[in-house]
Amino acid sequence: MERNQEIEKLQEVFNQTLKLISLYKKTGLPVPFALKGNLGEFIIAMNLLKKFPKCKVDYRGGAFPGIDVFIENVKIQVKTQIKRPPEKFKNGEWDNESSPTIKKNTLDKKNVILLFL
Amino acid sequence: MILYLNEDFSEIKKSNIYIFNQEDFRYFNTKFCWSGKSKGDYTIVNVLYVKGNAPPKLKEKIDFYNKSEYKELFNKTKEDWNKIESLLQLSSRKSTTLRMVDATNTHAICLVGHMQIGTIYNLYHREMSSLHPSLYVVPSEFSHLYMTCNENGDYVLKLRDTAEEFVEDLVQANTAGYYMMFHRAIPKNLAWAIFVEVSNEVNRMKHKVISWESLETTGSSLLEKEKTELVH
Repeated sequence: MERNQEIEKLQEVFNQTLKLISLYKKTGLPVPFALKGNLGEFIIAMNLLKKFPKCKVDYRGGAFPGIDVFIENVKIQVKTQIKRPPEKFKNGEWDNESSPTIKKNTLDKKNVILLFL
Repeated sequence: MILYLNEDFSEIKKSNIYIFNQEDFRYFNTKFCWSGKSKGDYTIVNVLYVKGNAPPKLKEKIDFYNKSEYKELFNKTKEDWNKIESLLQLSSRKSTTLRMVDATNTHAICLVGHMQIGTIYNLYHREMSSLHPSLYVVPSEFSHLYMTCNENGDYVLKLRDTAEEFVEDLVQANTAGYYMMFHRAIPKNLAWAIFVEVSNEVNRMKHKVISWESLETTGSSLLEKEKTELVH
């Protein structure tokens, strides 16, 4: 499959996933973690395909335990968070970007080479 | 990756991508992670701003991440695609020649030859690459690693106390090819480096592993000791 086709394929799935997430949001249902995760994984995979056109990029998206994308032999895990609004407290507020939970072994045993947040 | 979505989640307004390599993993913490206490899982927080006085318990957690080192980390890792570039360059390298450089303020040095680099990238970081593209410096947390000879004259990697699994992985990853590694914790301010030339032939490598440059620094006596250990 040509690189452009690979990107288009991922783009299409990405678009549909975003639509589905939006549907959850509109209907007031909680958005499944897996869908949010997929969104980030698609974005990273597409970026890698574009930025490293000569490298083999292998999107796994959860099919390979703990590893979402390979680029050549580099193992990547993608953590995706939808930005939350600032958190208020009694006399103020704070804002942050935070990572979803990362399993202890992922970092302790260095099961991945790169972690995308 | 942090996604900034519009109100109905139908559009991505902005996304921030932070790229962490294994050297950055030490910044992740159990604080603010719901399963941090129970399972030892991790998270990381980029504090954007704090207004007013947070309640004491919350403040303690915010303060942990609201430090300059975390701000620098997030600045440094944002869209840092060079990290991948570096990994891919390493993967394609078949042999490595390391030259003498002024490695002042270096804690430790790791030399690596032909190997399956992707697996062991975590040993390096690229700060020294401006001095020489083939020189990588091992973060100080790996100071428990060292190299020695076994009874067959092969150089093998040993560990002092911890990280056993890591080292096993390292060795296994290289059984198909070969690798060369030396590591020693080095006190600061010792300006020194190691010469290594690694050929693609295993036998040659065994006999031509390391040569040392004479040093004009306070580290020379230490190096002489190292040299003796390695050669024998």
